[in-house]
Amino acid sequence: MLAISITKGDYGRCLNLKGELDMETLATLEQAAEVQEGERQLKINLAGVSFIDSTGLRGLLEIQRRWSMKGGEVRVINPCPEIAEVFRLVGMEELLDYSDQSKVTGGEY
Amino acid sequence: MQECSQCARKTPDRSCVDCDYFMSPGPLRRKPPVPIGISLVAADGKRYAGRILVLNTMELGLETRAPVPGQYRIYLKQHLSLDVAGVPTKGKGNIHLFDIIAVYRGEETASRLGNEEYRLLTGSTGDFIEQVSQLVPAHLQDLVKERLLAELESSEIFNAMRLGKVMRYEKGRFRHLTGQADLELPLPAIENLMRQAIHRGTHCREVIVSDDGKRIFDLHGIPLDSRSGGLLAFDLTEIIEKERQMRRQEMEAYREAVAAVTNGRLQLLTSEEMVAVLSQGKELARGVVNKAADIALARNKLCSLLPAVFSARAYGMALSLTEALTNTLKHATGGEWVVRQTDEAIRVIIQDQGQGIKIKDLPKAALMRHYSTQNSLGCGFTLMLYYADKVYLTTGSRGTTLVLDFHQSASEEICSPAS
Repeated sequence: MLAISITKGDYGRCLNLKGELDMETLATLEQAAEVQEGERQLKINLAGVSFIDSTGLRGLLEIQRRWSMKGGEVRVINPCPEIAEVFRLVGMEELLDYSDQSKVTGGEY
Repeated sequence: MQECSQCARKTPDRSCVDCDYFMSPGPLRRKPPVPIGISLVAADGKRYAGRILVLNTMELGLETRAPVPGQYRIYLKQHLSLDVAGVPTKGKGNIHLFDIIAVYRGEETASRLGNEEYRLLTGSTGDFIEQVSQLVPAHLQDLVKERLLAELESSEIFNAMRLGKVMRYEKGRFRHLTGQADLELPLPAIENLMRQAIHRGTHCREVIVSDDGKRIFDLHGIPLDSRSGGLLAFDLTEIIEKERQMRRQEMEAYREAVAAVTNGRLQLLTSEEMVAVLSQGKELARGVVNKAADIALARNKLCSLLPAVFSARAYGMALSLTEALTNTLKHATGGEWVVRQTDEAIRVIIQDQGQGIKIKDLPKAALMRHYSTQNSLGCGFTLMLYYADKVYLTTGSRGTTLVLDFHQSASEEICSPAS
């Protein structure tokens, strides 16, 4: 299951995810992450995410690719340590933004 | 038997080389692209020049002044010589048919030309070597030719491809023309094939297994007219056995390569070896995956039953199971999972009935850290290899079995705790 709430900022939107990101739930994220006119940045907040697999990671890469084609950027914030480790393993740590210090709420894993 | 002498009188200019009385017109009759110059050596050491004009695996059509009848040895190249005997009733002028009595290849002796010798003499391979050789500088050409020929001589598939048998079918009866006379073909099958070929007026092919189930024949029926045809039969048994053997060798090579690049963490197993791995320990849970939602259920079940000592490894285990099950949905129609506990490990087993993983991609997948969309195995496999202590894999056209072992003793922290 994956639930998404949206907060708006000066930069654009922040998608706050809650649940697990995998083959089953990726479509929900892709829908919410569509590029909108005038937005420069999309934040994806993983604070409520307990699990991401390679399908989810691939989806994040694809979202980033779509945004950068329109001149925008995607920042992934607040991954739990286990998820940050997976980002590092597959060479996607550049997507992570540690400058954003929102509260980290790790998953149950 | 008087055809040749009559022909010599009436049509002295007619070529023997294309004459069906001179050498039977089976598919194995070939003319070398240019006549091959040879020497015939008689028992008393006397030498006669000659040229091979036409040949099959059992006979040579030679132009020579060597007396016929008579028996001679022909040295074709190093480690290959033939004993031949002139047939007095076949040929005219200086053209004579010679039966091949013995073929000497190094230590071996045979009663007819082997496939590679035949191809060498009939030109197809020779042409190829000639063409390849022309691409390299002149001083290296001979060396290249020598190497290629040596390779051809050692080709085991060629050796396994023993020539078959050629028969003529006419008015419901078979007559042996050339090739292995002792090749016993099931009569109903070859009759059926010939009738079919003649009825349809086209070449028909069938692969059959002998009555005792021990040999496999490749049969070709070729219609000649409305009542007769030719049957060409090849014994494939040894070729197939050779192929099996090569697959085993290939598997062995990949097994070593994969073990080397993964420091022994990934082991390719034969299905027989896998059986033991699947039954060790006791079963904790199992399930089936047919759709994406089933995967989350499977990993939640796995995490719920893990002993406390595995809690630091839970994420890696859940991720590995997810990656494996995702593959079963992507590359097969889903799969099964089983969790077992052995003395020292939690063992996660994932099986599907898909088309299998290309083994040649495994060393690459195991080495690659970062993922690319070109890699069909994706990073899922890389992640499994990172998190699991030991991975056993059996894969083939009938499906894939993947076993992931997570050791309790190796429970060093995978991720640093949140600061």
